[in-house]
Amino acid sequence: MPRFDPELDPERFLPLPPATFHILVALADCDRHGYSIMQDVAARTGGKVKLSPGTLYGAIRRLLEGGLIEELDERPDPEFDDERRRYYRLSRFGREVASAEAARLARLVTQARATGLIPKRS
Amino acid sequence: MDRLGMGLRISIRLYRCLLVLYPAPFRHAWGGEMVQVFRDRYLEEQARLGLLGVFILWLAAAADVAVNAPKEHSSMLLRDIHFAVRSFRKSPSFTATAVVCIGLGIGASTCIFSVVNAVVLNPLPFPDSSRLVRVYTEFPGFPGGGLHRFALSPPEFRELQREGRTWSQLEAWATGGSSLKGAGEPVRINICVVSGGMLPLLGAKTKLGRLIAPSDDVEGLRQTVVLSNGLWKRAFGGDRKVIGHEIWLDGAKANVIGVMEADFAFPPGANEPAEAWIPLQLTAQQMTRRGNHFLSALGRLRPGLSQQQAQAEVSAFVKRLGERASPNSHSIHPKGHPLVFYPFHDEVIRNVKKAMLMLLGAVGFFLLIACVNVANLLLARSDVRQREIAIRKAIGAGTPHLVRQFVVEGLLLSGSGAVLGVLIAWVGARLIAVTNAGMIPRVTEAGLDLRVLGFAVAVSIATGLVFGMAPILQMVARPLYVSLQATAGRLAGSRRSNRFRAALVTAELSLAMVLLIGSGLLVRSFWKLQQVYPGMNPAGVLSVRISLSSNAYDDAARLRGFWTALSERLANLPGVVSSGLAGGLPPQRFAVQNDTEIENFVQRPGGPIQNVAFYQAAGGRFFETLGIRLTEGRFFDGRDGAGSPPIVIVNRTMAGTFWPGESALGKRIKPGGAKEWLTIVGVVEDVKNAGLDKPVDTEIFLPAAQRNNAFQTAYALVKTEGDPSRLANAVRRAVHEIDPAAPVSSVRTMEEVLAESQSRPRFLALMLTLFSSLALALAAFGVYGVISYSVSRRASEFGIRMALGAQRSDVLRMVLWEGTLLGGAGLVVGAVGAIALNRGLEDLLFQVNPFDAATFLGMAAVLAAVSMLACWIPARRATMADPARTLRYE
Repeated sequence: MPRFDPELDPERFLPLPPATFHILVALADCDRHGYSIMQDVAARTGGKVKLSPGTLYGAIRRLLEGGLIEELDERPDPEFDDERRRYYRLSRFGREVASAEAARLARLVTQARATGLIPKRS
Repeated sequence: MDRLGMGLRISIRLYRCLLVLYPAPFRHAWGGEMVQVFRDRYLEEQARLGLLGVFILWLAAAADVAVNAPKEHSSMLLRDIHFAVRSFRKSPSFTATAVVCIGLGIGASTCIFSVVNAVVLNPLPFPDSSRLVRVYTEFPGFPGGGLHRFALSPPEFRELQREGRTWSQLEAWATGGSSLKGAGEPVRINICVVSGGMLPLLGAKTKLGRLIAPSDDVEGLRQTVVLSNGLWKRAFGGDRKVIGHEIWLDGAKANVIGVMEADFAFPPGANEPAEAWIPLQLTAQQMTRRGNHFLSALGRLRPGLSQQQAQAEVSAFVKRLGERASPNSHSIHPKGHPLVFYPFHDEVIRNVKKAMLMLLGAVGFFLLIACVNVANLLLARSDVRQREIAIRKAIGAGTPHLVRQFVVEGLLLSGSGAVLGVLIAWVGARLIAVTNAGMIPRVTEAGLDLRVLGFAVAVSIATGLVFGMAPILQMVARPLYVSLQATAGRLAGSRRSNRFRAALVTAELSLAMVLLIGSGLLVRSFWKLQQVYPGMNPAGVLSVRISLSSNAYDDAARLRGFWTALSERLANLPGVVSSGLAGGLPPQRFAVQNDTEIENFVQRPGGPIQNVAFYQAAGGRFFETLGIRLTEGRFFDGRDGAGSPPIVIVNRTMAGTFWPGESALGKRIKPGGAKEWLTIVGVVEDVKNAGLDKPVDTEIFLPAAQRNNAFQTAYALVKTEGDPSRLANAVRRAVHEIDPAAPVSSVRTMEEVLAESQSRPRFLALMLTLFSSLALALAAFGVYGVISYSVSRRASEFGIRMALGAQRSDVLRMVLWEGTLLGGAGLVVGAVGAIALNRGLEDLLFQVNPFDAATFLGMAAVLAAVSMLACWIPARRATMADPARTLRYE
């Protein structure tokens, strides 16, 4: 029987700070470099959430250390991209954590709906 | 486009500068990308909003760095701390040893600093206390080097008070004992007589009632008294209605007018603090007696007047007085009887300042030794950790990161040590303050205030940085490949690192040597003090102080009646061999320096003047009880009553001073104030009177039975065969059978009285012995560490040597030689250091030369023996090497 490793329990990371969750969401569908993450987050929130470089890279450092994302070794063709850019990918564990956070938020929304805070779905 | 390019280039350069605020590892990892992002956003904003866009971008960038750089720093620090804690947990014995080491160092130094802070650094608790000066008179021409720091007589005090140029205010005080009646049982209290302006000058505040004012200080007025907070609580149960209450002080009525605040103490730093203050009320008769020097004077220098200017003013004033002075030697005169003054705080701590600073220096050495020891431990540990460090370096941890890691480790260790140290300091300072083992003035104020805590924090940061640095220096000096080679196992550490550690141990040994010599000298000096013959035999003698109120004993006959009855009862107590009475107890008495007329005295230039240092009133079998030896004539006996011819006994110094080469018996003297000549009937062996460490001064013994003013307060002395303290209750009962109201205090054996007079040298010797023993233990530990390390490093060499025919004794000799070199170097450097520093000890030593060869040699032997022992254990281990196994390994 595999032993339960608390270090690898996704629940341990919850709730995620908003900026961190945004980054994980941005990386959910494709690998991105830092600036691309910033742009994606801004686009998906209609410009309401603008990650600053300090916040972004601080969060990336923690996500890398926690094993939630990985840095890619391979780079796009240098003709299309700057060599300095580093690309990140959501790890399997990171995906589990992001899903757990999404489920947590969904449960929260369901509860809000049940109490009439937001209109029920027709 | 060019302008855009230039703007971009400048902005990127500035942004790079801004990124310096991030921790280096973060910058190295993400700086390039952040610059890239900044460039992208710059182009975007420039295109969107032009210059305004760039401006907004810059605002955002600055805010971003301001928020996130500190965050990164703290998170990195937390990780370092986390890492350090984890690595300390892995080696608990190392951690505990290091923390205890630093704890002892910081604890000892903070403890002594708290005492120095209370005694030396904190100003006296009076407003503008830096301008307060203690004023003295002097008699420079007095035989035996002159009388210095002498008291003032009432006429002198008034003269000085009128001189308004130097001081804005000048006040006087005198201290003494008094029996207090009117609050339950009569009690003996310490009182301080003050001139009217004294308490306001000190900025004193009452808790109840009012202070003594100049209007209270008038001859003939009804006596008033201000109680100390302690006395108010003890004797009056803290009754707030005490104001206006009538009490008796030595039989005189006095009205309580005030109760002082709890923290008020004057005179400051007294071993027996005053418990009540009464106005001086100088009488017209006192004002005529220029020779009656009993007042201490305190002045406040006028604002704006420097010490030098004040000195010049006083000199001019003394000169003016000198011009109209009569030939009387008691008139103020520039040559015969000048005035001097010194800052009050300096005077309060004059006797202990040097000792305090010496202790602080000693404890500083001890702290250094503790630091060096921990540095050594860390070095040994960093050798063991070479592999970890090398790997971390190899995978990209930069030197700055490793430096920070070491500094954090050092600070964590020193911080934990500081917590332990502050605890040790608190306990130590309480012990020193409560026991007052060193009789140090103001020591009761010692505690942990902000300055002391600041000291502990500063010391712990400094020590943390110092010993955290040691492995860093070593690491920086060592190329990576050496460390990686070292990880192969056999060559654990380099020759160079061991040399560094050996240098540290040598430093440790030399510091320990300095401390050992210092403590050796103080112990030797204390031992010499023990060997001083006090002129009496304290064994089996109990002393008890009895004070009679002058209210109940309003005439000399009554007083005499009491003492006669007491003498009889004491003599008849079971187990008492002999008993007597005395006005004061040797070996340290109050010097009266009273003018004493000597019959047929001829003043010779440079010879003695008609003055005697000590007057002792003695009753019963005083001399026999204290075992004072008679050299000529006889002791007092039953013949010497109130009506018989007045007689006196003198000490040998007195006889030798005034009648050298002839017998003093039959000679006559007239002590100050006496109307008749007293005939000398006996000469006794000198009894110490100015302190055990001082030469005996002239002394006369007056028979209590013949004195005009019989004792108000006296010490009863009883001698027994066994333990004298068992007689305490019997003596108390004997006193109370005669007068149930007579206060009995200071019940001590004479051995205790003698021991008390040596309490300060004992305290110093004890403290220094404690520090030097701990220092020696730490240094031995250091030697052991270095030698064992070296032995483990050379294990294969020893194996090969033994395989080639070397004997175990050869190996033993080799290792011990290494230890001898360390110990020898430490010894020599330490001895040189001691020679350089020991001048400062001179004043604290008694009959011991600060460069005493025996102490130097003795302590060198101790240090050598201990460091040899510390070598012996690893050396034995070296001889256990199995040549066959070593060769196989090779």
